Amino acid sequence: MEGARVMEVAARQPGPRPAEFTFPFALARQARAALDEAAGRLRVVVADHEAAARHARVDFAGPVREEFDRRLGHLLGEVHTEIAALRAEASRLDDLLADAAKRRADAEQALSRWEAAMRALAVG
Amino acid sequence: MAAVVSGDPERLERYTRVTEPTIPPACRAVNAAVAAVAAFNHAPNDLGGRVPAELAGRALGPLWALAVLDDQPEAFAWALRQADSGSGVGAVVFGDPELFAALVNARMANRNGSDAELLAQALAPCGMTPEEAAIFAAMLATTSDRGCATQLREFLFGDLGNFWAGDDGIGPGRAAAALLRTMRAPGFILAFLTGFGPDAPTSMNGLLAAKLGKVWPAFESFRTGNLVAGLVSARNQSLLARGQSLRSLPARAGLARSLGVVGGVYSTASGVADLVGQGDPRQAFQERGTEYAADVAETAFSASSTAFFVAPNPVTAGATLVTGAAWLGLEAWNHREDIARTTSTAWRVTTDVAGDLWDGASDGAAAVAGALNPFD
Repeated sequence: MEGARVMEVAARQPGPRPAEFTFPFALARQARAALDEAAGRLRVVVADHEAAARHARVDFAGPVREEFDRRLGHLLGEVHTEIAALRAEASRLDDLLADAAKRRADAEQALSRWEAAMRALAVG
Repeated sequence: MAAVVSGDPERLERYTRVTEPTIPPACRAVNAAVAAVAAFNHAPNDLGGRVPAELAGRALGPLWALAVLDDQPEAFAWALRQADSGSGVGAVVFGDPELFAALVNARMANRNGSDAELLAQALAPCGMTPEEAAIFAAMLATTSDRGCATQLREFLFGDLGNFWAGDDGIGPGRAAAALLRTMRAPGFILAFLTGFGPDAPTSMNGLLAAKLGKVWPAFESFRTGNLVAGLVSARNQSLLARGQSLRSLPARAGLARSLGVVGGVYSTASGVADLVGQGDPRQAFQERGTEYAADVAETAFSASSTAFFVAPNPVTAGATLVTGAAWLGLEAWNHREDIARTTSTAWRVTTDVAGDLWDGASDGAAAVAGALNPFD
């Protein structure tokens, strides 16, 4: 009889306490905003350079202009690439934050279930 | 066809002015992103997601390169302004890419340098010794672009002054001519020592020499069938622009020197003939005193300046200055009464005119016109 009761309690035991989910949400949001801000500033750099270059090109001619245009085009192309990379990373951080939020919710639910089980066990 | 550079300095300067301020905020934003990403990456994270640490910092590379590139248009503008005719409006054409690049590099290396310093730096690699470059740069720094009005004024006061100073001329004219010619002596000493003859004030043939300096590059280009480059050259009117075709300078300087030699030989010969015509020097001096001495000094000045044209060196340069100063002093002494009279007349006219102007503008203007006309 006593053995049967031990078996019953063991079956209702919720197991070890689930670990809390750890993720630096605030830092992730700050990093995401900083990446966004950097990308925005870089876009301003590109726009201002392109507009200024259009204005300066009037009457500007010769091999010096060709070399300058080539170099400017190359560098603005690099900046465009970095903008795209920053935006891609900001977007990945968005996904990461969403995933982390889901994982945090799952972990909280698991913890709630465990705590409920522990309470039931104590009452029983 | 020789490659030329043209551009509007105003527009190019505006490029640098507009783009330069955009870089520092972008760099700050990127640095902030680097710091934020690092903080995120180092925090405990069960998800394991990390932002590539080098990502944000990578943008700094092109930004720094852009910052350097952004300075270039301002340096282009500075180089173009050295070739500007002085109008300060519209595009400027620069016909010597090598010299242009040298000027731009000098400006890029030292944006706070004075024009003279930068020109000296830029011109030194163009085959000039540092001393020559420094002298040329000093000439450029102290001699503004000589526009048409300046050349006309020099022609009137220099070349026509010599006619005015002739036998039928007016006394003070000789002193004025001596002053002008002596004052111009350092100009052509500098000019020929540095090989930039046609671009500097040159003798009493200043107008001819200046015109020659302006036309020569165009002529040279026309001669080689390059019409566009010829027009471009003709448009460049500043000292540096005229000096930009460094290869043609010796030829131009040589021609101007030849003209100077011919003129100097003629002046010396006519001066000697005049002195010989006056007979025994001792007797002539006793009879005419300082007037005869002035004739001797003038002839000596013509001879020494001719020697300087033939063999420019410190000795002939010094002789030119000394004889020129002596001639000037003697002419001024000989015509001291005329000069004093002219000065007092000018003062009287000035005060009269001031009074007349006070009483009535029209009467005053008539007095000026009448009193200042030397042929009246």
